[in-house]
Amino acid sequence: MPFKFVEDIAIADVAFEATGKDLNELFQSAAQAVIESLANPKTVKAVIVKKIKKKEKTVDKLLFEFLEEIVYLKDKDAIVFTDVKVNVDEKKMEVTAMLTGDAIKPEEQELHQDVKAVTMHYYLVEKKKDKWKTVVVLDI
Amino acid sequence: MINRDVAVPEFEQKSDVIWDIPMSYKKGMRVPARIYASQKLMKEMDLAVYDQLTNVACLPGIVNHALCMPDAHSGYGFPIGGVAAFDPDTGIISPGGIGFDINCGMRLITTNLTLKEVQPKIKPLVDMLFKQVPAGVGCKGFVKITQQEFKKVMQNGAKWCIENGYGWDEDLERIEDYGCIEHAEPSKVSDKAIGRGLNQIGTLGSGNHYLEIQHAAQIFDKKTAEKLGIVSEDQICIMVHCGSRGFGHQVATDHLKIFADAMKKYEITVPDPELSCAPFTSKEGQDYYHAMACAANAAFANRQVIMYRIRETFKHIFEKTPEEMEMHLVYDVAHNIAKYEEHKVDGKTKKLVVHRKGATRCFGPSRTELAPRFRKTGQPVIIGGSMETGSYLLLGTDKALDETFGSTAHGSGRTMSRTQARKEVRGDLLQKEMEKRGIYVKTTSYSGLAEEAGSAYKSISEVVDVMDKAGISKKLVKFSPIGNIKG
Repeated sequence: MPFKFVEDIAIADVAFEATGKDLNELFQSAAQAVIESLANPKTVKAVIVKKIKKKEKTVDKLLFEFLEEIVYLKDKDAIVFTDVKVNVDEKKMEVTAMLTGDAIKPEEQELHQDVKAVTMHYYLVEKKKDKWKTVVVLDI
Repeated sequence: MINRDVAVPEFEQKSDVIWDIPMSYKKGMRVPARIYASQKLMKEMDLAVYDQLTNVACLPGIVNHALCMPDAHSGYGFPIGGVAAFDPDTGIISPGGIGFDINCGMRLITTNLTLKEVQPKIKPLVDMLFKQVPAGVGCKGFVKITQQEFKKVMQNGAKWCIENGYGWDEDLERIEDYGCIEHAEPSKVSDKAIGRGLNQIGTLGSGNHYLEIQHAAQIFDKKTAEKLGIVSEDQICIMVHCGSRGFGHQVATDHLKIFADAMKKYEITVPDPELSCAPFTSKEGQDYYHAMACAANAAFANRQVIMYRIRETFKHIFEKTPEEMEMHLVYDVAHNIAKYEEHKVDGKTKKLVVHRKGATRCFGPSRTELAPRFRKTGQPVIIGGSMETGSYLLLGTDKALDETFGSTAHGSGRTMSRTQARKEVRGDLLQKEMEKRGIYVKTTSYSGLAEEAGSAYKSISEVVDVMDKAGISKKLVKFSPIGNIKG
């Protein structure tokens, strides 16, 4: 999976760098990083499906809103996720995603951190040499 | 990346524990920055703290100094451990100066039980508390209320809990601002925030939040400690660290976005987007202040409901009523908040918007905001340490009112990133090793446990000694853990 957790950006929080050859892959990787920050996806069953649809004016805002929605669903519905399928329409600057997961069950899932928020701290979305990259710090 | 491109300031050392960064350090600084720390803590401080603190010193309307407590580490926008006061007429309010977890705070409860009485029952006690006080990712609480009722929680805070049977009347005077901050307006809170927080009253969350069974390990002033209900060094107390949960996180998230646009409108430029702010008197500033007060009150209610569950659990395990066990609240104090307070500036009393982010109010005996029972002792201050090293109860001083807008430290302060801690420590092994040392830990996440290892934090005693030496807050009791619940 083209994302990695980065050590030295945020002492008390979690930072990751995600990449992709296109926006679909970038959004997919970044979403996967958020999902893994919450729980080990291998320990979460796929019994609940949640749809996210977001439209924004810029790609950085679109990714931010998209990731934030995953954090919101975690609290609102008390769920963690195992997988995500993303489709980004670059022309319309719109993302549609299907997330699968399950109600939080500490006895059977390997839970990680309760992400509070996606932050603007060192937030970056850029395209260099046909490769997209984002850096995101999650408040823990 | 934390320390990159930060020039080490030429400090003006004012005393053994006070270090100033002059305004010449960075273009745009409106006031100097001041750090409270020992030589050792200064060496351990990550350099980004200096950058972030001096960024704070650039904000409009800042008064006296941008202040930094000895437990500081870099955050976003403000450093954690940062205190800054702003003139309400010319200054700003900034969610980055408060943090996402609005009114994250500490609560300390006494018992008349001794270490000898509790130690044999520590496992069933912690196991039951683990069930009664949900912790970890997205956990839900037992309080089921409607959105309309939740709005009453936002407006009335801990008072709502007492009215609904989750506490004793006497609890309220033992909470900062009697557990209810003025100016809460639920109309300024989004449906999304309500959606995230509605089911989370009475939950701990995760990260560095915990519920800990401790014993008083060292009492520094027996006469004063007795006035607060701590009478012997084997006495069992309970400490709680948590905040406003998803509700407060969403309030901060919502308003940070609004402030990003407001800054363009008010032509405010800041060196870091997480410092986004708005004039305190602007519509955006006031809307955030009113929404923040809602989240702060929800946090007071959250900790009050947790205390209710703790009292019930002790009742079940020890077969005595909470009254018989003298389970009194010592104090509940916020350490992520902005308050509209009176302070002296250049000899004149003035209303200020005091931001405390990872910093605790520590009012001295002279402040009339304190309940009468604290007007001789000063306000109790609870400094939570790592789960391995213990915690402290301090008292606020009038000197703090002169120097730090009545503010002090809030905890140990991290020295190691979470990722690094996970590499160095295995949660399951740490749990076993702590049990051998007499600390029984229950957790929802071994990786989360590893991240909270004592080795990832500064020495809490060093932090507390700095504030004591500076006369900002006085040491009263040191506590050692025997049982801990981690989210």
